Amino acid sequence: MEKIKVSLNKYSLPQIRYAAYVFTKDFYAEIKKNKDLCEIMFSPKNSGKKVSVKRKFLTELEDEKFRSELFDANRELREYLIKSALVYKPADTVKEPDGLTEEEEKELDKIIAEVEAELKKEKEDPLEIKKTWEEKYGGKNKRK
Amino acid sequence: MAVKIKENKKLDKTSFNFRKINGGVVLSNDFGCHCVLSEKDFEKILKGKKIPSYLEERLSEAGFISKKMDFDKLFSGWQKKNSFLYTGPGLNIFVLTLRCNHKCLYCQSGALSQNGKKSDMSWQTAKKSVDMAFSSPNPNISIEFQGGEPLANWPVLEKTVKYARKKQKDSKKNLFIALVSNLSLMDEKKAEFLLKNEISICTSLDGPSFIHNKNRPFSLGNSHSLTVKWIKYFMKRHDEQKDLSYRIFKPSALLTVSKNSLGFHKEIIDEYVSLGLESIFFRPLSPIGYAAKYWDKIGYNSKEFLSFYRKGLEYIISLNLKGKKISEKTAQMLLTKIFDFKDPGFLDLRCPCGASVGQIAYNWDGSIYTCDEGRMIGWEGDDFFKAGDINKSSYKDIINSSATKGCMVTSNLENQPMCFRCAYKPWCGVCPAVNYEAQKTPWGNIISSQRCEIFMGIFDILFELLGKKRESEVLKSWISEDK
Repeated sequence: MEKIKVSLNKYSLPQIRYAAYVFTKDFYAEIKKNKDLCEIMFSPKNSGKKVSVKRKFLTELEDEKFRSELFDANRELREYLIKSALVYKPADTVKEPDGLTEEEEKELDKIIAEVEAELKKEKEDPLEIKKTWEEKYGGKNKRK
Repeated sequence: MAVKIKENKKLDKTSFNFRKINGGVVLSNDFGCHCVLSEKDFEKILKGKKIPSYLEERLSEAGFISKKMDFDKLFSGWQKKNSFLYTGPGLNIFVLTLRCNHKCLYCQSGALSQNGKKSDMSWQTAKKSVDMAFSSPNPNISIEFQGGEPLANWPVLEKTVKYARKKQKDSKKNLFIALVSNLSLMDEKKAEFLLKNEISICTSLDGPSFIHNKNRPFSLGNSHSLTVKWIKYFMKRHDEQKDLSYRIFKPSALLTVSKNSLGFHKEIIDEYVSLGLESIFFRPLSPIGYAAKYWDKIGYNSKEFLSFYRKGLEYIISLNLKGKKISEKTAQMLLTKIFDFKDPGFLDLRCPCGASVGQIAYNWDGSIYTCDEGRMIGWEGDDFFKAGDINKSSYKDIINSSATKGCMVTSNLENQPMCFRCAYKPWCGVCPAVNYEAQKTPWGNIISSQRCEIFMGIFDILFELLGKKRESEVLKSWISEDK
């Protein structure tokens, strides 16, 4: 049996428990709390070669401390991110180009402007006031 | 939406898991993003020291820095990786019969003798099972005929295919049909029907004859010869296809690694290459069915399997470097998850697992199980994984069954103390049926699970090889081949 003592001022009980759990394939782990100290007793499941687990356990405990502090600090962010990812819908896609080159677009804009100008001209004299008699009636009322 | 986050000036990193491997430290997060750092760089992060800007850039691109997160990229990647959460079951396993003319040492199907007790699926059961399969909201339906030996119940197979194709036209869903067979009962007439109905052929090939026949005894002949004969036949039909009114798929083969396979990785791979098969699947034995019964004769421990796997994978990579086209299926699927953020449809390795929500197993007698492994446990007399009955249950009943819900809870990696902390969590999964069979609880005790040791070992091997330039190029070339 190997006994390892760690301070509860440095590590929390859940951190110690999860770190000890990693070794439960090959060892039985018993955890005892005693004021500010925690005692972990590892007994090998196979009574064979004696192997010390202390160094590996302390390394795992440090890793677990880092991991759990990181998760605690990011708990709300993580929940927000997962919930948002679940219901995420991508923004509208960018409009696809119509295949004209820049020059062709300029040419097209020019033609459109010309046609619009002509239409505008016609619209400006709706009662044909500016039209001459001859344009209107073709010389019908010539004086004798 | 404003998010209040505990202020932690020292740690501006998002939560991640890590694992030390040969050649570095693998980091991963919930979004399936990963980074492999040197031990030195990882120490700096552990101790909260300042890290170089190129490293900060790498970490922020992968969503490890909380102040620099590309939400669109991370959310869309997560959804792609977990796309199966938004569809219903797609894979439907039809156990047409338990009769079989082989006596495979590792049989998981509970096969009975060919002339033994009648255990054939009736046409009425098959028809109702097709209707149930199409009632899934999934637009892509797969029907996989298994057994025993499904060709032993040819009349029902033939009728079911015709009915399913009709359902496909009426429903406008996509339908993929596969046959998993030992091919010993195949003939030209059956082959013609299967090909014209676009059925994909899958068989078992355990390597050269001295391994294959030892694993798969066939009293009426040479199992290996028959398997090879029909693989060559279907390969030829694929290569020489002239009538393009229907698709002919290349045949595929599955390898089950037993104790008899250990030490012969080269011979097995060479057998696959010689037949033109482009993929080999190093499947470890599951302690279910006859495999559990004969474990002392055909089983092995995780170290033995991983040694076989590593040597086999390295040999396959060396063949690729010489221009031979062959990939390893497990590696291909895991790499697709890791780099492409895609779900390759590997239902055994998902969170939650594919039980009922990814696949449904329809037994010959109309019983419905969460998965094929669950069906096997049912054959042994334990209906823990039985989700319903085709004559009594609706699709909703199956999804709402205790068996389904139990599998969902026990295969959720957020609930597993080991998996929650594992760097490979984004790409891994547990199997409640294997846990139940091997450890007497669907929850399992993952720390002592051989299945976990094997998959963790495979991930370790892959990440080590990804750290080597030539090996990495070959492995990544397989990702685009995944269909």
